[in-house]
Amino acid sequence: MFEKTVTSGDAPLLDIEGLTLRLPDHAAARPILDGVSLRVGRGETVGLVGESGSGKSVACRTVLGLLPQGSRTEGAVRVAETDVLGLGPAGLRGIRRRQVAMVFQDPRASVNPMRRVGDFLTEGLRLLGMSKKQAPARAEELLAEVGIRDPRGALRRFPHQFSGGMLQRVVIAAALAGNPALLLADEPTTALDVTTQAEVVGILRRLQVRHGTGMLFVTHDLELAAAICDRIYVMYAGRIVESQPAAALFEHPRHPYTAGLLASTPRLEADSEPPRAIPGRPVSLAEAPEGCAFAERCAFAVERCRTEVPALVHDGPAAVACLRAEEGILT
Amino acid sequence: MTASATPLVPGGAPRLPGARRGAPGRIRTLAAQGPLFTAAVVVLALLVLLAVFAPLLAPYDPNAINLKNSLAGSGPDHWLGTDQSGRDILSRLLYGARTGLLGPLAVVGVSTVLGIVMGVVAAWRGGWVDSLLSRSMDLLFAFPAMLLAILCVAVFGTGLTAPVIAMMVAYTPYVGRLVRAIARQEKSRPYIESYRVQGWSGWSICVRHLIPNITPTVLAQSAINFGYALMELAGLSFLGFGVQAPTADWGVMVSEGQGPLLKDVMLPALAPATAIVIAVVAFGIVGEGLADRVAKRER
Amino acid sequence: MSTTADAAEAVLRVRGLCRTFGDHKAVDDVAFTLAPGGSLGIVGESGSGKTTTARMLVDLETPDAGSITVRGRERARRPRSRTERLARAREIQMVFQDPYLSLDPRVAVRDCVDEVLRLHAPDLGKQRRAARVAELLDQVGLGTREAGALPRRLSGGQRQRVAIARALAASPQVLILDEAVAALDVSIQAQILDLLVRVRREEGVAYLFVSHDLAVIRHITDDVVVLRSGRVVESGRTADVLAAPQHPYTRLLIDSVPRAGWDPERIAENRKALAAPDA
Repeated sequence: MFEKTVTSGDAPLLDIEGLTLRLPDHAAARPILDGVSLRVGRGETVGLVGESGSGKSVACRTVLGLLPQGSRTEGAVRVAETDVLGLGPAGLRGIRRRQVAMVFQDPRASVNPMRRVGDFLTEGLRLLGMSKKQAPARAEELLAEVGIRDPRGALRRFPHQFSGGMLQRVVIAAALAGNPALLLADEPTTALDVTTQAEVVGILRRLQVRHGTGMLFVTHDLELAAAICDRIYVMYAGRIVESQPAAALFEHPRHPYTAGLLASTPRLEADSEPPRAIPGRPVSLAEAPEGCAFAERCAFAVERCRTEVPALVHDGPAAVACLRAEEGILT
Repeated sequence: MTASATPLVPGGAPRLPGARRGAPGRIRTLAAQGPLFTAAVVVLALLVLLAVFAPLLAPYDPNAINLKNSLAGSGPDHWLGTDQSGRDILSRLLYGARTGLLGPLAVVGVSTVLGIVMGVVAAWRGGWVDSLLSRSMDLLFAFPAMLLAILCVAVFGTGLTAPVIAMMVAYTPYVGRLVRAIARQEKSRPYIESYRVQGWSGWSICVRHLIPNITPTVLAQSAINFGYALMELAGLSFLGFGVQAPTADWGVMVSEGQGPLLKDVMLPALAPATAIVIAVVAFGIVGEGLADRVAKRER
Repeated sequence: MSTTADAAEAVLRVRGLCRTFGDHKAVDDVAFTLAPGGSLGIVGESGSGKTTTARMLVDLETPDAGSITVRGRERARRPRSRTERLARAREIQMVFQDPYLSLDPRVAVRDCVDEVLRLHAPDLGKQRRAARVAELLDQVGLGTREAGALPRRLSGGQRQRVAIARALAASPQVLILDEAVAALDVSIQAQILDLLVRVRREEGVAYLFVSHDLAVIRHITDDVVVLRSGRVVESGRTADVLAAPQHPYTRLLIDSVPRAGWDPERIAENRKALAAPDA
């Protein structure tokens, strides 16, 4: 699939290749991830979109070496050419400390509620080798960078004294403290109000541009992904079904699932159509459909779709895994 | 059509093997909790069986005195030897399991029921009812169980009854506090609120929905309490406040074994002490295991 | 502040509703009117008081002040008898946000609907009750297979269907939907929205749709009330409010919805300009 041998100069920052992840047999009938390939370049923002059970969060977490208990993997997850899956605890710590940072959905779950925000930040900075004297000053700087008023006062406060949006900024500040090359954002704004979401996304983007950080943005919200990402991967039942530059994906979705997802999203514009539901429901881990996992819900499915697993076919900057993609069914 | 062949759940959590109903499923659920849990359940089941069938299993009358055969070591006639009065230790151990389990059963049974009633009423009614019940539970807390038991013995006399009553009283606030905390949490869950919106009375919501849903958590705690109660009752017997001397009881046996211990004969004290430790540890493991199961179910 | 319906013919009329927690005014003089068979959206962010308002309507929270009337009759503060309690329940029912927490894990789907009928229609015989249960479940798109299942074997969307059927079983005049589609996947959310549109058409039940999602509000409601920090900042026909918002906060909310041309920096500035009390 990737004919050219990548040299260190143009190697992508994150290169997930053919990643398959299985749970022990009794826990799932199908692999959670099934041949997932995904790349994030330096400074690039890449969206990973899917519904619950699509495997998007699991894929994101593998980058930090966080695997579900008892799972087996095939394929590779390379961060700057180091395969994370082959790393021991020390190697993983190195990756987590220096190269990859993660922001989770619920900021309250990522911060120790019993400790002051200042301790939370300086602790991380000390791990990075900063001296006890320098750390508080740097922590203050970081908080200022994410737009927290009175950063010095904020350092002395406890997490419960912050709103969700403010706390997520603290988490972002901590994540960016080590100047990581790659930021993993797993639904970072889902728990936040819309107006707060805009602010937090604004901060993320600004810092990302300033530091040249690559970002993998995991979300269920196709509109949000389209608004901030350069490229988007769409996942369904553990597989990548489509990837395209954001604008193109929105204008001309190539996979019926992507099209269905777009059509089922309620829109605010005055003249917009009412949302059109996709029939059926996402594939659970207990089901292992033959052929295309979406065939059951797909209006365009033919007999072949139920038996043959569609391969992800690349076409310039786009890729789609649909047996009928060539036929122009969506136009 | 087999009901379990095609799972209904899409998108949801993968159906764990234990989620299936029926005996094989249940056994697998037990096994899924780990070998330690399984072993503890087996030990407790054995203990109950031994206690129930003690008259059939015991090789000797537990109270048959044979001074000629005092402090015999373990051998083919007496597997665990005999005590100072020449009584067969194994037989006494088997019979001792009866008082040993019956006492804690009464304590845990009554304290669990009382605790659930007090805790649920306090949580559901709130306000002054809650304050009253909570303060009275705090008051009971202030009394150490042992002290309460000794007081009870002073009033009611020795035997199993007085310490058991005392410990029922002493254990109730532990259960009550736990129940109050989890019932308050449960009360604020949407499913309970939806019953309120439907117009059900508080009584029927509590009895039919709230209590059944908190029961697994309470039972986990009760299993642990069972071990403590067993230990404390044995302790009282040991001190001479509980079951009295001739009766076969583990606490009494340890107490009587003190003399032989000075003569370097271990078994008369060691055998019942070991039985106590095994039972307490097994109840602890089962309790923890049940608590884990509840936690897992809640995701 | 009055929306379309006249007070006399309104199915639900709320005036001067207030609720304070400690020194925090969660709901401050909220008023709105819901027409019979109408659909009114209450939109706001967390802390706007929208959920507290909904909870006061179904007695899960006690108002400090204000009046709530259903078909012109004041809803008494505390129901005194069983009859009164049941009558109130038939006025307003509610569907909660989290489908994973709103069903008793021990009660099978069929029984979950059946117990409501037993409570509210005790005269119905066993057979007619079973028929009605099947009818209600069918109405929300659940078959016999789901009917026998425990909630844990259902997906989020299916559970929410059960919650809707359960609420409809009491034949309420008003159905409160508190973020009822917020926890669902997008493709499932659209299914439930479809279902809600159809149920309203078939049953003539009025909706009070509480949500933070303006796009959802646009498709499911006729009128809307925008809440901010416990106060109504704007209200009117949903289409009008979304097309030409009068209050800057409403405008900010609309601008914040991610879509083509979305500019987080500008939204952040507008938000600061509004001086939202934060942290």
